[in-house]
Amino acid sequence: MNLAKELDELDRDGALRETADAVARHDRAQFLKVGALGAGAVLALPAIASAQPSRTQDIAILNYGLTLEYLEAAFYREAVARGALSGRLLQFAQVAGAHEAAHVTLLRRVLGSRAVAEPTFDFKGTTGAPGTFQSTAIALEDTGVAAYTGQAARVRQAPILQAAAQIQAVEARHAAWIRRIAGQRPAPFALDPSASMAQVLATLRRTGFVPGL
Amino acid sequence: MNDHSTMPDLEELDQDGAVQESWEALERAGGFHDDPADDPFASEAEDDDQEGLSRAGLLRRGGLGAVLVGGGVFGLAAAPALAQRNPRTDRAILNYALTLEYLEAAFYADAISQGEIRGEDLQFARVVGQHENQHVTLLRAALGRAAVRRPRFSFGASTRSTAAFRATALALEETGIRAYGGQITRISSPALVTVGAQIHAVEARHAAWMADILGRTPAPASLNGYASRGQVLGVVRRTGFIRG
Repeated sequence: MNLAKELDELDRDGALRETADAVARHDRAQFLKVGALGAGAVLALPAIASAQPSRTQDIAILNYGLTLEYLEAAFYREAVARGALSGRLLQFAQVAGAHEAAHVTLLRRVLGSRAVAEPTFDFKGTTGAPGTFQSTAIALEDTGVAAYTGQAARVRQAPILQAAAQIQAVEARHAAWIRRIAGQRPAPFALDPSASMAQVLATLRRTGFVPGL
Repeated sequence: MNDHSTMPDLEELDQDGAVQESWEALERAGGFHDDPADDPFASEAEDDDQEGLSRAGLLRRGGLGAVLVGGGVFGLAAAPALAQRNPRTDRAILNYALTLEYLEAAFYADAISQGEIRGEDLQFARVVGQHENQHVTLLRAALGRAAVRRPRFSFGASTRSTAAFRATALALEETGIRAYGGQITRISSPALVTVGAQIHAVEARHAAWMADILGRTPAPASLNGYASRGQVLGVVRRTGFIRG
C-alpha cells in the first residue's frame, strides 16, 4: 500500500489515506502472518534500479513478471510430471500450469530479444507430495498477485498495464482456487496485498527455488 | 449465467475479444526498438488514440522519456513526473466504482437478510459482503462530498434461492473484475492505480471462489477480460437491480 502525496488532490481531508492505511495495516499484518512475504533485503534484478520514466522500466517490470511466470510454470510442470497429484489438485496444477505457460509466451513475445532466459529451478521436493505442493502453490500464487499489484503504478505504457492487470486477476483466481482446495479462505483481505520487487525477490530467495538469485 | 433469466450475459463482455484486443495492443506497443526510426510509437497512427492505447499515443506525441504534457481525459497511471493529473476523471471513475460496490454490498446484505442461503454460501455472502462494504467506505472517504449517493436496489428473486444467489453473485463479481480492469489505465493518480489493482484482485478472488462453489472452472482463461464503463453499465441496467 503506497498512498502517497499524489492522493491529496482527491483526498482533501485525508480520510481516504486514513481508511486505506488502516485496511492496509490489517492486511499486511495478516499477510505477514501467513508468511508469504517478509521484510526483505534489497535485491535488485539487473537493470531494475532505473527510476527513469522510460521504456527501460517497463522492460524491467516485464522481465520481473517473466521470471515469476517461469518459476510458476516450472513448478506446475514438475508437479504434474512427478505424478503425486490427483483429483482437484491435479486439475488445478494442469490448468494453472497452462496459464503460467501462456503468460511466459506472452511476456517473451512482448520482450523479444530483451527477454531474460529461464533460470534453473530447484523446488526442493515440494512438488512430490500433495501437502507440500498445495502450500507452496498458495505461497507462489499469493506472491504472484502481490508482485503484479506492486508494479501497477510503475508501468509506463497503457497496453502493458492493461495486460499486467489481466494477468494479475488470473493469478488472483488461481490463489483463490488453491486456497479453497486447501480449506483456506479464498479471499482473505478486502484489499489484496501489494508487494515491492525487493520484498518479492527476498521471499523467492528464501525459498531457495532459484539457485543463484 | 444462462441458467438465470434475469442475469446479464457476460459473454457479451467478450473475454476472448478482450484478450485479442490486449494482445494486439501489446504487439503494437511492443518491440522496444532502440532505433528511433524503428520506434513502434513513431509509426503509430493517430487513429490508434483510443482508450487502451492512450498512453502509447501520448508517449509517441511527447517523445519517449520526455515529460508529457496534455494528458487530457486519458489518465497516465505512471510516476508523478510522467502522469498528467486529472482529479476530475479520477473522481468520475471512483464514483463509477462506488456505484458497483454499493450494488454488490447491497446484494449480499439482502441475501443474508432473506435467510435462504446457508453453509458456504452464507459464509461467502458474509465475507464478500464485508469486503464490498470496506470498498464502499474506502471510495466514499476518497470522494468526500463528491461521492454519489447509494441508489435504491431491488434484487427480486435473485437473493431468494441458493441457485439464484450463486448465479447472481458470480455475475456481479465477474462484472466487477471487468469494470476495474477496464479503468486501470485511465486512472491518473498512482496511489489510486494501486488501490484499483488491489480491489481488482479481490473481485477476481471472489469470482473464482463462487465459480468453484458452482463447480465451474475458477480460472477459465489465461488472461482475464475487462470491459468499458458503457459495457458494464449496460449489463447492470439490464439486471433491473438499480431502482433509483
